Amino acid sequence: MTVADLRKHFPIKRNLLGRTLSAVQAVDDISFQVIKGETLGIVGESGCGKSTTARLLMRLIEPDAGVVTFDGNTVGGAHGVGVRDLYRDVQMVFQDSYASLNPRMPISMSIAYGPLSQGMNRKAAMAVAVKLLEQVGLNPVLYANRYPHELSGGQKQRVNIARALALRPRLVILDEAVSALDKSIEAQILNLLIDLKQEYDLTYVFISHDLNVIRFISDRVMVMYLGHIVEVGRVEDIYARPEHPYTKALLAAMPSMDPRKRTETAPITGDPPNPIDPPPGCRFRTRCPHAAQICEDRTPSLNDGAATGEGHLVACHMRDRRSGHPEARSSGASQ
Amino acid sequence: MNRQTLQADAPLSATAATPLLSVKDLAVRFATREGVVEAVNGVNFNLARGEVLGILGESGSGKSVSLRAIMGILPRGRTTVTGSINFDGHELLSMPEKELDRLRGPEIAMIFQEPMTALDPVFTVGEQIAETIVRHEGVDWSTANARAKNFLEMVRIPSPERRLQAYPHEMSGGMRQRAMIALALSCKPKLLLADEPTTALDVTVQIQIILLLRELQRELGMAVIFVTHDVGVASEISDAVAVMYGGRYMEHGPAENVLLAPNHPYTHGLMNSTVHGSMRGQRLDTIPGLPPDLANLPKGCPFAARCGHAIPECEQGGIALSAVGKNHFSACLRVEKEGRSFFA
Amino acid sequence: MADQVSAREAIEGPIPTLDPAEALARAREGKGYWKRVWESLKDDKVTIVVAIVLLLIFLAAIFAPLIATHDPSKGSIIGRLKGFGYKDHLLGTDETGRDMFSRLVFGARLSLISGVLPVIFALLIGGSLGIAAGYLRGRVNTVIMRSMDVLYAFPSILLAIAICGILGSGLENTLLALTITFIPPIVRVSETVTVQVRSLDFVDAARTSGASSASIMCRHVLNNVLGQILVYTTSLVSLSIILAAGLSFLGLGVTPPDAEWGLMLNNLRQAIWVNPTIAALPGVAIFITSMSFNLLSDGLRQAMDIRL
Repeated sequence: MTVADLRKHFPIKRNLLGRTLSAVQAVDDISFQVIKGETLGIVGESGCGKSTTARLLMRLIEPDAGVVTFDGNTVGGAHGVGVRDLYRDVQMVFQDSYASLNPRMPISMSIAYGPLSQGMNRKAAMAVAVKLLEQVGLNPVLYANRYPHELSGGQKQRVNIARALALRPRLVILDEAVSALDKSIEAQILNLLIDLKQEYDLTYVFISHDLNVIRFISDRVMVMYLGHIVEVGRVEDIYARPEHPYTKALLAAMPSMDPRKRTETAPITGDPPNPIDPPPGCRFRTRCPHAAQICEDRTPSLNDGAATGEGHLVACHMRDRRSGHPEARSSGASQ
Repeated sequence: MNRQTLQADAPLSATAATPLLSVKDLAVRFATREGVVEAVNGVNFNLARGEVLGILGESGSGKSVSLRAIMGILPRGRTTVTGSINFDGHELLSMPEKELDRLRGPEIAMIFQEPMTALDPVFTVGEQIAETIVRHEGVDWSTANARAKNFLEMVRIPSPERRLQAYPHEMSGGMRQRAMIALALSCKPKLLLADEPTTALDVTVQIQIILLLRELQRELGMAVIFVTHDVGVASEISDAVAVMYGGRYMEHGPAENVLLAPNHPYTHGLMNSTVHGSMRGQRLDTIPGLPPDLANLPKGCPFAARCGHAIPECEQGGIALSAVGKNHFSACLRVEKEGRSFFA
Repeated sequence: MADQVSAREAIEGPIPTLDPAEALARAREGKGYWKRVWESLKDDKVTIVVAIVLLLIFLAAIFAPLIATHDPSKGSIIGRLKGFGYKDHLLGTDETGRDMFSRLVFGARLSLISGVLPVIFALLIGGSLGIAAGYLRGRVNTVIMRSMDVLYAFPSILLAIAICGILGSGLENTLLALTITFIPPIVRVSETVTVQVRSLDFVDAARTSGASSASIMCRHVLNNVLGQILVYTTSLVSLSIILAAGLSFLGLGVTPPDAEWGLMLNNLRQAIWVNPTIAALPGVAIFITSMSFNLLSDGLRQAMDIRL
């Protein structure tokens, strides 16, 4: 899947003529690729646009601009593949395990609903549901006919995963799929996701605010800040050698797991700013310790920095010697 | 067996000559339509002056309920609280509401996960802090206003004069949390109860709040009970850590001991199933099954059904904390019987 | 489709299999939800009692000619405003000597009709409008909701009086007036509920299965919306009975000599000093019936566990 210049602004104030006065720039011209068979982790703080990205990829909201290509075919538009066909290949698991299951439907029906809608007969669809319940670790004899409110959060999330897999997709988007769960349950679900990925040869886009989980499950990581991608690269590069000041701050802000090695100073101060009418130029500059004039004048692009690892892209003027940033340096230069 | 004595005088902290807070056999039951929910089942601990205790637990472990029981803010009527909560010589559970009100604020303060529920939306932040100061210290309004400004500075809210005039909804999540901390600390309490105050925050803001709380705690010398589900947060802030499960303390001791060398099988399982550091590609060691139903708790150890080390006796009852090290206690029958940890 | 490799969720151990046909049969029963509502209702004594009371009132209305002891319109000059048990008049007689019991039983017909029918009509019209407005949003929503706001601007009783005043008295006009009165609140409630349900993730999840709008509407939205609208509507029945009685009382509803509780109340007004017990009887009937509908609505709300 390739995404080019995807953009979504939510207007919040219009003038009398319907012209937009201010808008939440939820996702602003982002481009990235999801490589077949990988797990791409998308990480960022609230308001960074990661959930909007998920919904845009699923066409649950229409983008203002940009092209999404799946397996060589453009999605939507006059000549592209239809949304219905897209859903055969791409599925999504939502964060809120309760709200994403119909409370008036037995869970087996919720799972079978997709195949049914795609024209499978009832018996075959139910067979798929039963099989999937088994595979997500819910005994169909006990659970097939239960309703969502009779299940715990972890079990509901298992049902949601089964529902997403019922159409045999190739790409699954997981939007904060484990965030609401307790740690011991989260671990069970993560294991399950890894097993299912192998078994069904899946590709994941895994969205989370939890840096530990992202590190655990992803092959590549994409860091977002206020609707922009600030850094993308292999998980080991990002975590071992973060380049963007925001990524560095994010990693440094993770609580230490060792009471003897506590964090002593906060890496950055202040809160993430409001995504309504964000600052021009680099959006992180208002909190960045290295901000310079150039950061206000020009938005750094992802390609600017020649980075250390393979496919490791950074959107920061400091990584581009020609940018004119006082602290700019070329790749590999010492800190 | 020395369980009897241990149960009587519960874990003691190193410096606790006279503990600030002493909780004995605390139990909380809620009457619901589905039956009696046993949310807290015999919690015993002492908290020294200036000590930071982190209570770690998953949802339904009873950690928040214990905290609310100490603060005395559980819904009346359908709740029964038994045991004893002794705060600085006062027995809180038998204290009339009026006297409790005199303690809440100046002596014991509480901060919550969602500051919007603690801050009144129709008053400015400045008015709320000043009002608390006036009410509890009887100073005049202009003094209180000046003090309020100092408090906002203390919690590092930029341009405090302007923020005093702000309504809670005009502030960002992190700023609101700071304002709530300022409000809670406005009377310099001896004990601060914190109920997941950083859970709803972004990670870069969370660390700022943790550092702020740590610093203020040291400055004011107050004791803190910090409830969280996040091992990392507990490790950042706590002197001592207690791990709760099924309404009981499973393990209680110095943070390093509990988090780095856990003694109880549940703590061990919790640490193993928490994703951290470089664990990529590994299978996570999960705790199988689900937490117990609080309306239908087993008689013995609440963790027995999910525990890989359980023996038949574990389901018989009589589980109590016993010493496994200096100030380190664990509520595991097998550890107590065999006198050793499984995870040395 | 069913030929995938077997499960390996290590934790749960070997899993007994369920025949898909059986699973289908079980899921198709699908009445699981209503069965649960019924089970919860069964334990709710108040609702059960109330439902029985309503059932009795309905039966009495339907079989009025069989139950009534006298001709409801045949009066007597001597036996006016007599107390309970006068001659063979179980509940006494009214101001023209007609049998109260028989009149109450016959009155139940008109009162129930004017209580229930307008609400049913309003539910059909208002419910569809509201659900359409909530589901389609955009311009449809604006048109429907703004026109409802216009109707909403009048207090319901005034609106009903105005419509009746224009159309003249009579049962049909009462029904029409009440129906129009009840459409706006039903539209508003159905719209709110639909918008709420629509925004839940499971509707999005259904969209990602490539289902058609119609299927999503029926299987996912209606299912979750109808119960709530129904509960709200039940609570309107009592209001409708009271409003209808009020219209008759004002002389805008049913015309004499037909028996209707509101009208009876009006006619017996002057008798309140002579025989207050008799004069209060139609009021008691109205009270019991509308109260029962309210309690039934509450009971249903609880049993259906409505709290979105």
